[in-house]
Amino acid sequence: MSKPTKIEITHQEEQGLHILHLSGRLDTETAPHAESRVMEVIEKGDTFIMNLQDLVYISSAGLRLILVFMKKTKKKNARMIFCAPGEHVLKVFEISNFLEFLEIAENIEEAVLKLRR
Amino acid sequence: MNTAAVGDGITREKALRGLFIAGLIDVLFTSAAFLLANSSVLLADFLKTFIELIAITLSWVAVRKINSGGGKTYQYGLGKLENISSLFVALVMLLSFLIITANAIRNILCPGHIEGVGLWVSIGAQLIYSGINGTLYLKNRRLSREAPSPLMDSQTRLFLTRFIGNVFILLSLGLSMALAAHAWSSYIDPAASLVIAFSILFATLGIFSSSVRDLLDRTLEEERQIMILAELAHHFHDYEELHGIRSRRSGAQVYVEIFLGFDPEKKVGDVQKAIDRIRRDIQGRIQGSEVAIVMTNETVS
Repeated sequence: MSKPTKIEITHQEEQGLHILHLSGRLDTETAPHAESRVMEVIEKGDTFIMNLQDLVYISSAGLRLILVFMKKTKKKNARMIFCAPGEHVLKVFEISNFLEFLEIAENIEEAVLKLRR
Repeated sequence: MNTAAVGDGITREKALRGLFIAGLIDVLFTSAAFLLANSSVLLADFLKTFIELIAITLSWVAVRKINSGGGKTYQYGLGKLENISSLFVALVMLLSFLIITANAIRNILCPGHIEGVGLWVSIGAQLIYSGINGTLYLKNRRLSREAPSPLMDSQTRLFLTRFIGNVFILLSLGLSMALAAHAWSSYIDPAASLVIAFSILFATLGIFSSSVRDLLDRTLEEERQIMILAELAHHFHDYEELHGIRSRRSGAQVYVEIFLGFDPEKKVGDVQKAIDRIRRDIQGRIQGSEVAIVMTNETVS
């Protein structure tokens, strides 16, 4: 039996737009599962929305993963927007300089508008 | 070993020499006090200071040996030795805890009033040593903040523990003598020694866990991991891929390895400049860090 993860990742696709919903904690324990799941999706398209509304915690392992995702999308000239990060996640992004290169939207609708602009 | 590392070694050697002299005098006073009094607290105090002196002596001898050996034999510094010395100090402190606890239990089961000229010797010694240990604690705490290392950390904790011990022994003896007319006052001596014993146990656990973590090459704590990522985020456009980060602590030194992929179209000179920028910024941000950036196209776990 596989070890239960503390993160849930759901994926939906609408007209080439891939939306990933992350729910739970992104830390050392959950990062390997999240990495394989998200990388699998990144291979499939070129516009992504990462919905962080239900992501309650992010550690340095999670930050490293986000850096890897951003590098991957940049390398294939794709685009990823992060939306609705909670107070904790946004604070971590701020202190770790991630806001220097991440595109943040308040909600999915705003993220969609940004991608279609 | 670079000049800074040699300087650190000499500073530590001097600090340890000071601790050795202070410890030796302390042992002389405590042994005189326990021989002239009927107090289990004083017996435990003597044993504790004697074992502490052994630990300090071993650390001092080891640091002296390394300092005189130059940088060729120990190019990665004193880190592992400091961790092992700290573990030994923790073991010594654990032994002190067991001795003091056993004495306290014995005196609770068979209570008796403390007496003899040794009490006055000890009161005098505790007054002097509480001042000395308090001062040395503050000095070591400052050194530990300037150049963090497990050894300095353990010495700082050791002196705090000893200062607390001095104050408690002083209070214990003073109250036992002042309240000698009351039968229950015979329990003050063992009760105070139990308080000292548990403060030692608490300090021991802290030293033990940090030393074992470092000996097992545990990655850096979350705060510093985020500092590394913050610099990588700041230099986001300087590299193409992040393949992995490894980190460990060895004494006062922090080692970080970052595996990055670069645009193959970039000139080697430009890549070198980018690497230097990232390395310089991380080293500037994390005190005592030595950063190695490795160019690779393969993921490193």
